[in-house]
Amino acid sequence: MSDPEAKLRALMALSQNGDAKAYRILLETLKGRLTAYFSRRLTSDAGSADDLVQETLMAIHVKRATYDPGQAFTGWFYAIARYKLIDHYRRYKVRRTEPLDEAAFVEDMADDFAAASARMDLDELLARLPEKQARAIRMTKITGLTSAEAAQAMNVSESAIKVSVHRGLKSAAATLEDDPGDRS
Amino acid sequence: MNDIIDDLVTDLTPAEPARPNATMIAGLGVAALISILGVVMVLGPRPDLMLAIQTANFWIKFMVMALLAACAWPVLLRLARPGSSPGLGLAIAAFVAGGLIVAGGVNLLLAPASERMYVLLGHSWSACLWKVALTSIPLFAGTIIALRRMAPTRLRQAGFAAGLVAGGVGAAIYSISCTEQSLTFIASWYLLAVALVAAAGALLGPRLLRW
Repeated sequence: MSDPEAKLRALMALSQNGDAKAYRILLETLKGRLTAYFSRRLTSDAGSADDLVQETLMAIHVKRATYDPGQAFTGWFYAIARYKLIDHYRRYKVRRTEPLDEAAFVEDMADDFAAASARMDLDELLARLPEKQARAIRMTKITGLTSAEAAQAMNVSESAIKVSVHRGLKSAAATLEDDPGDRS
Repeated sequence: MNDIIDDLVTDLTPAEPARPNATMIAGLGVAALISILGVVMVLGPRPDLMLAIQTANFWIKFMVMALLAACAWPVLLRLARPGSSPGLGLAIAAFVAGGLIVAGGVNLLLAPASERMYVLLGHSWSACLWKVALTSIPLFAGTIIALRRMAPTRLRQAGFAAGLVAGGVGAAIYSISCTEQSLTFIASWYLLAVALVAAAGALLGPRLLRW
């Protein structure tokens, strides 16, 4: 069950049969994905990103019959997320902060496959950082929380989170460049 | 925090996977009956219909228009589901339209110079445009209503495909009433009418299909 696509597909099949437990796990997983997906694209608009997560979960629920067990679940799922994002742009005529192209979509699909191996490298890297920075990075960049949510969870200010993330990423980058000399 | 997930889980009932084909055929079928009735009762069948259906010209006109719709149909079914590619149907439709235009052009060149105007314009070119469009309206509505029960995510493309299906079927149905025989006429006015309906579909799609 290490392949996310196979796991999600199985959960969806159970959900379509009316299995509430599987459905809850599926929705929780998708919620995490959606939070990451929307907050990455609406970086300056956490409120809308949250609304879109809810709206997309609702859409998935209402349109769940349109998922064909023979097709890729992640393809179906991200097509809906992407549709809700475009719909949002259209509604509010917001200028895109990021070009909306296939690349972003492929990136999300590739995430699934790269995630497992990347996670291991990442753990190693984060272990070298101060605990506070590592936690801030984990929450905002991996779990997909917004800075505000992470701030609440860690009981510090939002700007403290941003500073921690920034410093943490900077020193992580320095480590990657194999220059461990300056990491105070 | 998780109340939306609680709500959705509580609301869960087994969901039979949707069958776009059945849904869309039902929508299109009902609409086709309305269009046929409309053409027969409002425009009236061509007086020589019984003779005409024994000629190749009648069926070429009918089949080419139906073929355009048939090319767009699988595209429509695919676009009804999130995450499936539209496929090659529209490219094939463009190929069919291109072939028709070439045939119409050759037909025009082969005609005696004195008859060319008639071969191109027939006696009803302006009426043909709006009558095909009118015949297509119920078909377009039926297709859109059926499509809304699914979950299209590329609304402009889906609207275009819906317009192409409606225009193609509409033109085929209108041929019950139309006495034009020339291939050049079909390649120009019929094709233009279908293209207009498809363009209207692309224009209206994002508004009509939003969910």
